[in-house]
Amino acid sequence: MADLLCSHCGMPNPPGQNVCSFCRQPLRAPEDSQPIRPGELPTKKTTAELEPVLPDWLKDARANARRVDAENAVEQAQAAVEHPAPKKEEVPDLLAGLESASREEQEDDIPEWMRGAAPAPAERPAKPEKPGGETFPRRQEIHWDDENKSAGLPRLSAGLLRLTEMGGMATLPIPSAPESAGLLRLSGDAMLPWMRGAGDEPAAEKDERKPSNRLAGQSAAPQEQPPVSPFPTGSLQPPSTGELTGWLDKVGSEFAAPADQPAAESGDSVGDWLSSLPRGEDLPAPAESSESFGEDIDLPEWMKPAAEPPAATKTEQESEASLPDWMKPAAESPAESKGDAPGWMREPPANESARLAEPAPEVPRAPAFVPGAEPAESSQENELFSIEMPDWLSNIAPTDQKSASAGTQEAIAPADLPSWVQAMRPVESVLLGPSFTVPSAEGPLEENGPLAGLRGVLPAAGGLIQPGKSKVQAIRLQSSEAQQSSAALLEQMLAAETQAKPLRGGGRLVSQRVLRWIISAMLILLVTFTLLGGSQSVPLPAALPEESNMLLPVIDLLAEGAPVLMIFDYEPALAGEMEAAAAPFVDRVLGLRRPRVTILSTSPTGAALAERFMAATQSRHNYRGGEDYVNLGYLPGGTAGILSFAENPRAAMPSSLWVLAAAQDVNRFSDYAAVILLTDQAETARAWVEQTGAARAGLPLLVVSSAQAAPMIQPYLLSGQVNGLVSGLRGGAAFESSSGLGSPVRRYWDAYNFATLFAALLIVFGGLWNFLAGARARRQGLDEA
Amino acid sequence: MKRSPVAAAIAISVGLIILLGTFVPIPLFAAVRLELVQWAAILAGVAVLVGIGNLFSVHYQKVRRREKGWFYSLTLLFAMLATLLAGVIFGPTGAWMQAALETIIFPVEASLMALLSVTLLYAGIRLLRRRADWMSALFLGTVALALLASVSLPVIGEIPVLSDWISPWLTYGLAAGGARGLVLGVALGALTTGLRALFALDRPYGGK
Amino acid sequence: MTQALPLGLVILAAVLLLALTFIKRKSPPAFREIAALARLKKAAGLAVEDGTRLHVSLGRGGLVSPRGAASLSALALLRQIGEQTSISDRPPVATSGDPVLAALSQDTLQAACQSAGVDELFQPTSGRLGGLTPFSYAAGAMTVARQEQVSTDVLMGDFGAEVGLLTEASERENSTLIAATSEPSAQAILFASAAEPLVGEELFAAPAYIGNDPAQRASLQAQDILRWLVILALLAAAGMKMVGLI
Repeated sequence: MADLLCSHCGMPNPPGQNVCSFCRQPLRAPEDSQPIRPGELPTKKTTAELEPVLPDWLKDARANARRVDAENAVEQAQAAVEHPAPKKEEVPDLLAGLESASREEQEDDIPEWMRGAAPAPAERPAKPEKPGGETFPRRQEIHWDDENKSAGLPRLSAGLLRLTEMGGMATLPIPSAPESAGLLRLSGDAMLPWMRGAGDEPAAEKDERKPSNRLAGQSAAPQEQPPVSPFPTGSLQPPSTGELTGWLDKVGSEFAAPADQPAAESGDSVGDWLSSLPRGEDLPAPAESSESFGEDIDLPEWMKPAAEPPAATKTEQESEASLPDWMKPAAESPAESKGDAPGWMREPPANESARLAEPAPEVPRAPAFVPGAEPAESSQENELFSIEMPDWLSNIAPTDQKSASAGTQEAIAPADLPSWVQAMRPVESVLLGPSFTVPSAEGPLEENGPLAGLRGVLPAAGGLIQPGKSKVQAIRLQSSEAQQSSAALLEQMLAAETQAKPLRGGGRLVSQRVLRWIISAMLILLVTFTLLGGSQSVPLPAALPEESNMLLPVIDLLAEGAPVLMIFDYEPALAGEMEAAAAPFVDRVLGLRRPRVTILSTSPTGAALAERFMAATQSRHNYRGGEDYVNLGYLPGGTAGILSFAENPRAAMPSSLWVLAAAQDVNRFSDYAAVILLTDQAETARAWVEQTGAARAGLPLLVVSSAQAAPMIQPYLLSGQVNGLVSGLRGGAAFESSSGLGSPVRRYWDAYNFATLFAALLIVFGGLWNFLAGARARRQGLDEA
Repeated sequence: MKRSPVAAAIAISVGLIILLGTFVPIPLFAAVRLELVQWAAILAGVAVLVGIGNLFSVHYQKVRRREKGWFYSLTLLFAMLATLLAGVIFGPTGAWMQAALETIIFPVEASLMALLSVTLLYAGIRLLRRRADWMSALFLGTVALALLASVSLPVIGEIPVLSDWISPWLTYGLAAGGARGLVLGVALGALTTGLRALFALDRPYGGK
Repeated sequence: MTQALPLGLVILAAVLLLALTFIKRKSPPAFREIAALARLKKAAGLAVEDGTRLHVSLGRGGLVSPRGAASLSALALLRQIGEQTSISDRPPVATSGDPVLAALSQDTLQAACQSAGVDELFQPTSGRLGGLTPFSYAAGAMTVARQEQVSTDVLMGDFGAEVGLLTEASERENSTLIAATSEPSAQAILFASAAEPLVGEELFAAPAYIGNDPAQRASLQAQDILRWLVILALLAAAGMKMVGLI
């Protein structure tokens, strides 16, 4: 059967348990459970119901205790017969019955006071069978031996450590409080029957308990004194934390519970208060018989359950007188003791220091835990209180304590730890003693508590050690989008490293080059043969375009010999087209009006191109440099240079050529009769139009442009900023057809048209072919995919 | 070199003066503007020399380090120096310069232009294979139409409908309108870019 | 009137920019996702991880030209890329077609190294002039893409038709290509040759997407607001023109 996981701490628990052994929280939500609020009285529960929640080691201890009690009872009975003596209220052995916990399935007789606390058979959950009958691998036999008699309070922590050794439990599970009057109940916690109004059970009844049932089925254990609860039943307030010392927290409130507590002895020793604690006479009968115990243990009166659970005040008052002084402050404030440390663990008032300094007399051992045991009858309580008192209780005695303030453990003299506490201590400290320190360990030596003798012990700061699973920390990196994209890029690159990259395909490259060569070859052949053949089959345009028609009036209005500015702003690459387009027009201008030309260029190569143009196309006019035209050369600065020249030509282009006849009377830009711009870029035309607009003052601007720039110059033409336009080879051809002077246009016209037609047809059919081929390739790719 | 506030101040002040001089008809602004424009022209001319020096250093480093294609860089350096000497000695319009233009510059650039025409023709043919969409088809159709509209055939001359109606409408209607829209957008971009430089929001000078 | 309208637009843009920059927001503004820029961020990280180089090409637009704004935006992007990849075994290389831009790219990379705390890793040759003409610049940039173990080519700035050569070189080397330009003709080339081209003013949005500069984000928001205003103004003007009011 699978273990039950605690929802609070996450530790595994046996399936039969209702309360987690580690954090003392219920494993299953009770049907009628309600959240506990501070200050509330816990619900009463019988110990028998909570028997399953006890750990096995505790059960074993209880079983042992019961067995020992039985033996002690026999001895006492014998001793009483032989040597009658005033009965002493023995401190019950709180943990004496631990050894018998594993034998609860056996037919063990339980004392009467435990029968009430024993759980009902029907309610007891099925327990897993464990090999060997032991659940604690390191369970050690708990001995309420003499060495622990003088242990006292400080040894409790050592005892806790020993318990830890036994089963790794940091805390002892606390049995649920039996249903008894005068007792406060714990919700989910077990209470010893002797805690419930302990002290009501008369000692005689306790002595009469037969340990036989207890002995049966239990492992052999040394004869021990019957455990006696140190606390008066009925006034014990169950702890709210469920820790080991929790049951001790309620000591003070329960001290006055039973009404018939015997008066405390005048010595006010520990034994006195133990003996004066009320017995559990009023403990109700347990719900189920304590089959695992099978013995009756006589409880001292102070360990007997209280008759009236809520009437704690009355019982407290009555028992207060029987309490030793050092326990009285705890009894006076029962409400405050809820959830607090037991009274005997609190700092006693100053007047009690002397009392505490006295050596603690021998007190009977605390009774064994009775898991699930309901409040026993008086006889059972007597049996409980007949259990030998644990060492730490027996050694409790008022000693001198110096200004013991709350929480200052240093002032408390170290006492001997009981055996069960010592069993919880680390092996090193047990073997080698508390004074021995491990040389390899670092840190201060722990001198007190269950970890005495260890080094490097972490301070038990509040909240430092949290039971349960550690908090899951997010390890997600916080990264920005750019970092993520960079990381994705790197990831792609790394992935691409391992993938074989398909070669771009030499065949594809070759096919592209072949196609280019074929196209080039066809064009070259077509043009070459057309040029070499001197074909003139293609007629020239019959009429001038409208934009070219606008040039004729301007030319007619030019004065003969007037200065004309001619700008050569085109690149050598387009010189062929530009020369062919401009030659007929310039030839007409020069032939009709023979102006004096000033040549300028905003391109570094413009001056040289101008000379080439004049020499190649205008040679028939015999224009001589310096006389008929001046070449000012390169105008730097782009648009700024144009603006500068328009503002002051001589300042923008300082040169000795200004004195020549061709430019001697030009001082301002407006002195020119016309401006002829030869350009292959619309931007250049725009710059000249815009920058010289104010300086021209109505001067005609005639533009000869490449076919690619004509559409962008058209708006200036339509707006009147440009007075005429010759666009590309077609414009030149139109001028040629009108003049018939044999310009280069005629030579190029057929080749130009044939090549243009070839290109148009190639684009149409070639594009269609590639479209179909591409569609087929994509369809094949989709099919393959 | 850290960002210099002096450079920014000069840029801003000069830009404002030129701008105001263009729009505000104040003689003082016009005179300063003219002077600054002349300075800009002079600086641009000097920048040509700086560019030539940069070109020289790049190819010199290539030759010195024997990088890939260093021989072509060496040829460039030799031609550069020779042309420089010829121009200085014989003038920019001298016979040697004309010979260099006629035999080297003009043929090389014309060849590159011819290569460009083949490249564009090849790109046009392959366009629909690379990008088969309506825009590409429309583009190619317009190209073909414009070419056919400008062609004159033997005997018949210009193609009647294409040359008379379609070509002017295509060239001066659609093309010019589209180009004007592009130029308007470019002008607006140029305006904001210039203003960014004017307000020193964008500094293509002065380091960091 | 002709001067008042652009002046008012400039003032409005300035106010929006400053207000959006300095207003504390609980959460950054949400922009639409641009796949190419997301790929750029990933490519920067991959380049650092596998020890390859990033090639950032800034185009050929000088700062004193109308294309200077695209170059400024490209420099801002270069700064952010430089800060992210300066610790790589092979730091990024910036090429440009304008001398001023080349000098500024050097300074930007140096500042990026200083910002990343690795001043000693800066090399002056990391910012280069590819060439003074567009195609010579393209030729110089193509050699960098082919010879210096480049894993990603970032073409941001003012490009012309020569960008087609750069994209072809990138494709030959099987490199990742992210390209954006302000030139419409170059955008058409990029649409055909690049896998994920950036169209229009997405070039100016790149620094805001890559980095966390509030000024960049404010600039993008100001652009959006101004764009809507321009759209409304155009529609209103067109309607008024149709009606005959203007």
